[in-house]
Amino acid sequence: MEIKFNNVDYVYKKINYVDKEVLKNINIKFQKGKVNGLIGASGSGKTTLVELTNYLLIPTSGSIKIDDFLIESDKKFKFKDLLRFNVSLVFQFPEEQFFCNTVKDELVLTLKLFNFKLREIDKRILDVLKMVDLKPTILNNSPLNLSRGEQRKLALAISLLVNPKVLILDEPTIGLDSKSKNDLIRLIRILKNRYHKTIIIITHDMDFLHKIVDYIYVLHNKQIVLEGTKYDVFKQEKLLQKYNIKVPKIIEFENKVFMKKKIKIGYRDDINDLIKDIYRYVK
Amino acid sequence: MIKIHNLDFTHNNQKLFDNLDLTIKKGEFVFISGPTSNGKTTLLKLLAGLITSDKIETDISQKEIGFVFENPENYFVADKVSDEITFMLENLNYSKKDQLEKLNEISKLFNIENLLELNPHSLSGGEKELVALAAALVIKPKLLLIDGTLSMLDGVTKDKVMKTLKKMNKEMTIICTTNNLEDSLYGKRLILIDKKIVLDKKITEAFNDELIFKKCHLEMPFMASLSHKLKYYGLTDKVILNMNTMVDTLWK
Repeated sequence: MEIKFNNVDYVYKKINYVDKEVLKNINIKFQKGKVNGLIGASGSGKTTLVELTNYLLIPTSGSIKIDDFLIESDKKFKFKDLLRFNVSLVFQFPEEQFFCNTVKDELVLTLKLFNFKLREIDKRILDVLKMVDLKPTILNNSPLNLSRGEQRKLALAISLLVNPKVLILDEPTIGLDSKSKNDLIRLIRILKNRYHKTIIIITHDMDFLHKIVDYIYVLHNKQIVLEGTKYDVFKQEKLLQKYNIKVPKIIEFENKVFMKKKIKIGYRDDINDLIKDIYRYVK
Repeated sequence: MIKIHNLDFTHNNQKLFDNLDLTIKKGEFVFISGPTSNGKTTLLKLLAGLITSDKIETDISQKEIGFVFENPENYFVADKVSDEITFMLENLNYSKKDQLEKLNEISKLFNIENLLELNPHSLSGGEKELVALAAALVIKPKLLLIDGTLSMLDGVTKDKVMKTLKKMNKEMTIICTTNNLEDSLYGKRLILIDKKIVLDKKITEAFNDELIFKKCHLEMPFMASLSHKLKYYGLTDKVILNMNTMVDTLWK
């Protein structure tokens, strides 16, 4: 599913008597079927930008095209519900939105909101639990009694219930331990490679992002100031520092080796490949 | 100084702590981690006196403690950031003049002057964390407790903030909980808790043994992992946490 922003501005109206312009002249196209990373300083407008893609916010000016859907700032958009079948957003700290007594109730509630028929509901629930690697035995648990990793998986399962083509994850790794992060990485790869979903991730965790991202957009001072493949973007360490972004540790190390010893270790994704390169150059 | 002695704690029918013994002295900078749901937050709340226990001995009073919660949004009490920050000062009967002075000082330090007139709930995640931290620090606490090491901050801001806290460390004991051990490199002491204390070392020595981290499902900081892998290849014989030192060591 293609998402294209055309000259989009966003202004929060009258926050404490003053309008706050948060996005200005955004013109980007998220890569279909790939993992897109949206990064930038705290408060740069990342969450605002993604909330525009599923009509939680309406652009102040400009338009957003999502496949055949067109959201325009000055026209009423009649397909909000249909759009949300296609674009699902998982918020920061999603576990704070659970309010049902059981996990099953949480899942059923969403399906009912989207008008799923009763006989489809049970099968759909089992399907998504399998997708996120949660056992059906948790269906009777209270969402509050799950571990944080399980809660995040549940939030992800809920967002996958309607089988959206686009999945947006806002800071998915906050407070997760390494195992849960690795589970998430595995899941994102499956969603992309097996289910061909378009994924957009907002995060400050560059070491996590580095493992899965294909294409990166950098938001700074209301605008997209840099975009490209992860190789093109992360190699610009000094420039990214200006935008309040620290590159992944593996890149930082490779750059240090180059700076100090003039040895160019290839841009490595994996620490094991890095070790092999180091061995070759040291011996 | 805080001393925990023989602490047992049960939550939801699960035993969180089993005869826990822990002493933290003034001026320490401690990171507490361990497997998820090991009770880090609970321990922090016990240390703050938010949960009471007779197994905790301390010479710090409640009004000398600053606490930053993991999702600060849930704990804001005021409609304006400036009021949020001066809330404790107001309650401690500081004069308006003193309140304003301290507000200006702390907001300058964390670069949040442009947020002062806004509603805390309208801020981004990272901005909320900075406000919560400012509110905790404005009273110049003897003990600062941070649950979750400010994970909504961008990399550069977080680095600046942690380095600022390091500067304040002499007069202020700092205890943070984290799942991200990269953060612990800012501290001086790392403690892993899994019902009991399973690791308690200076940061410089904490990562010498890989096994305990695997058991707790925790990834070591990048430099520690790199050091261990290079050890297998015989390229180094110890854990080096500083990148510059590592580069110099490899290419002597």
